[in-house]
Amino acid sequence: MTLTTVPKNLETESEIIERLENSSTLLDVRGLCVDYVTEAGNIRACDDINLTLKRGEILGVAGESASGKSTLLNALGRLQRMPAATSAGEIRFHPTDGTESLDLAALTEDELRPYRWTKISVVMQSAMASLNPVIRLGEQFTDVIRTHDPRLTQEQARDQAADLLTMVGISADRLTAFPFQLSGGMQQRALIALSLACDPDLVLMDEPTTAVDVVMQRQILDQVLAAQERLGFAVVFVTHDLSLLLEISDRIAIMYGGKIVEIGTAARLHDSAKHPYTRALRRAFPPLSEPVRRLSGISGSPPDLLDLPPGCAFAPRCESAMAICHQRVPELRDVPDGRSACFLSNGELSESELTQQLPATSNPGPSSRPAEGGDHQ
Amino acid sequence: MTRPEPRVSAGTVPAQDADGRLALAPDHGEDAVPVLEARDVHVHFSGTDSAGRPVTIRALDGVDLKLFPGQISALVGESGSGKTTIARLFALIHKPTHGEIMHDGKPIRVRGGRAERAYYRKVQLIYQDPFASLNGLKKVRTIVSRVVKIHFPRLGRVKNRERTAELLEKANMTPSARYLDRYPTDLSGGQRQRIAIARALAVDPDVLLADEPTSMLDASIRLDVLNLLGDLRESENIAVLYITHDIASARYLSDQIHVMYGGKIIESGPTESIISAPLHPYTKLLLGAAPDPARFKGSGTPTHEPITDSRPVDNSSDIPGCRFADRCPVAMPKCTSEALPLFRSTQDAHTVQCWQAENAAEYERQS
Repeated sequence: MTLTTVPKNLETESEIIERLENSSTLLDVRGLCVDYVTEAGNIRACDDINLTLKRGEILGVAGESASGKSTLLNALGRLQRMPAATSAGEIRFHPTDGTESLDLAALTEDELRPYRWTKISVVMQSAMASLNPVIRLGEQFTDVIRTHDPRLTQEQARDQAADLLTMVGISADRLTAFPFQLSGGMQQRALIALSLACDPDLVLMDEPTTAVDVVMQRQILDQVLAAQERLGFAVVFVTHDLSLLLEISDRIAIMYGGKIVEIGTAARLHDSAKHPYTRALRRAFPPLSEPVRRLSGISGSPPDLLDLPPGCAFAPRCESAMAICHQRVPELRDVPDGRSACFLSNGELSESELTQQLPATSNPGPSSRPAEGGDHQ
Repeated sequence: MTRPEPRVSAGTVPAQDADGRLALAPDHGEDAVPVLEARDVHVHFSGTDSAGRPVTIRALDGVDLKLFPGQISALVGESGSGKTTIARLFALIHKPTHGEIMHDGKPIRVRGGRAERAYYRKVQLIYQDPFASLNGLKKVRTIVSRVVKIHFPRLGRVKNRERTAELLEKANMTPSARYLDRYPTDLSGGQRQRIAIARALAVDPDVLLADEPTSMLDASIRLDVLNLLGDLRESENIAVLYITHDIASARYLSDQIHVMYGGKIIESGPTESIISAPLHPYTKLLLGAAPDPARFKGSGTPTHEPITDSRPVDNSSDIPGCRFADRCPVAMPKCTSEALPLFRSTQDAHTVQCWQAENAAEYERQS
């Protein structure tokens, strides 16, 4: 059956929150740190990531280049290689088949093997780099399917492969094709079908639609969402395109300088983002149907992870930065419908402490700064 | 200097601003001369099909396009629709197989040499990748001042220096002294793209051809580059061709949008008219498929129509009708059998090549 249904998006925000509250936890990430070991010193690309993913949840991860979003995704799937290494933290995974929960970060490669692809699969940006160019598509599918369920015959595996391809709108006779004989969009869809081959609990997607056209992107997303509705897997979806994430994600995590600075439902991030960085990022995407007004980018440059400022990493570019923002790192704390790591909204400072800090915002407005404030090299 | 009689060009008369856009574009009316114009341009390449047989690829298949001073025209469409071929055509990288390019109302027949340099003094191309388009071994000062030196050799060293600094400031690289002695590798993507724009401005061009100028940049700096192009339209009265696949940014920046499909401009008109009242099924498809923050999950806003067919266009066949017909949800037999009609709105400069306009009251058939 080809999935061509269009997601309705008619679930209200409170229904989404209720659904998430009622579903059990799939992934519980605590204090996850990932370092890149370089000659210049360790670069902490993910710093103290705390995150809960529910069964069937679609979690979007957005941020600029070098914010740590892909590093996080690779760490969750234990896909990273040296010089990247998980240096601290726990990735507690609760399989949906009811088996014992376990810490993915602590497993050896051999222990991890039964979980790869059957429980957690991955879709990368470049399908051509993920599919083997010299092996026919059908063989790549049956290989995956039979490795994880050796009892299946070649015919059964082939039937399954045909079903999977049909689900993403590729005719089953393409199983005899080599990957390079498919268009870029078809390759990407084949890769998504392959990621669903073993009925995983979690699919990690790293910019899966960045390389394809907007119409193809929409078709792929529709199929992912329809398959997700039917099979119930959870998704971590990494992209820089916040507009896209707002449409497809239950919740969105915004990353900056290796940290999550805000998490919230799509509706809350759209209507009342708490962190100034989230608001600035929202303003960086022109609207399609809402009225156009002059928008501006974010002045300054992203932080240098080797030389992070002592306080909030965003403070040097922040319109609302206070004195304390340059001294102390704000914690990611609960706020209504999510979490925020900004002194202005996370409740870390008392009312009186806040009022003491606030006058500092009156002078260094963004307009008084040069267009490119960040002058690090 | 006598200019040839201007052609009546209702097709690209710019619209008045609809909803509070800060930068108002001047209205050129009926008698404006486009600074750059493509007239019924075809560009054919020879290629091979999947079976290895030689075929003719019609990258551009009868394109009419006019660029006006102080106007930003956006070209949108999918990969392979011919957007970049138009930029390369105007940059004299491709020659038209058929048809003409006009600069200031005069046909261009340039084959290198002095005439070509004179043309590049008026028309400049900005590339997609500022990491590849700047020489990483040269300082910013050298990169920009070299162009000044080549095109204005009599300026002298001091004037050249002043001009270089002035160009950087025009591209919002202020204070220029901070950037002049740095290398491109020291700069962020957005800064590099602004250096590329400063270099393009060195010749005082009439036209900037910007081929996906922001697609390699991070979201946070993309808008600054777009705003810079928008401001240059005002301050330098430049015509900008903005090529993009991001229709939301086209809406943000441009005065007109031209939608391309299969080597043709299938719909064209004032930006807000294209966005709010698209007529061609492909334009509708494109708008429905583009991410829109207003349709955030939980908003209760229903999304787009289902997309059942996203096949890439086949540009190799020589058909009289519409290349989109085989994907089109409302295609009729005459869409493929008859020549593509052109309809023009009686209200504004909106034109569309689609039979759907036949039943719309405000559209008149042109050809």
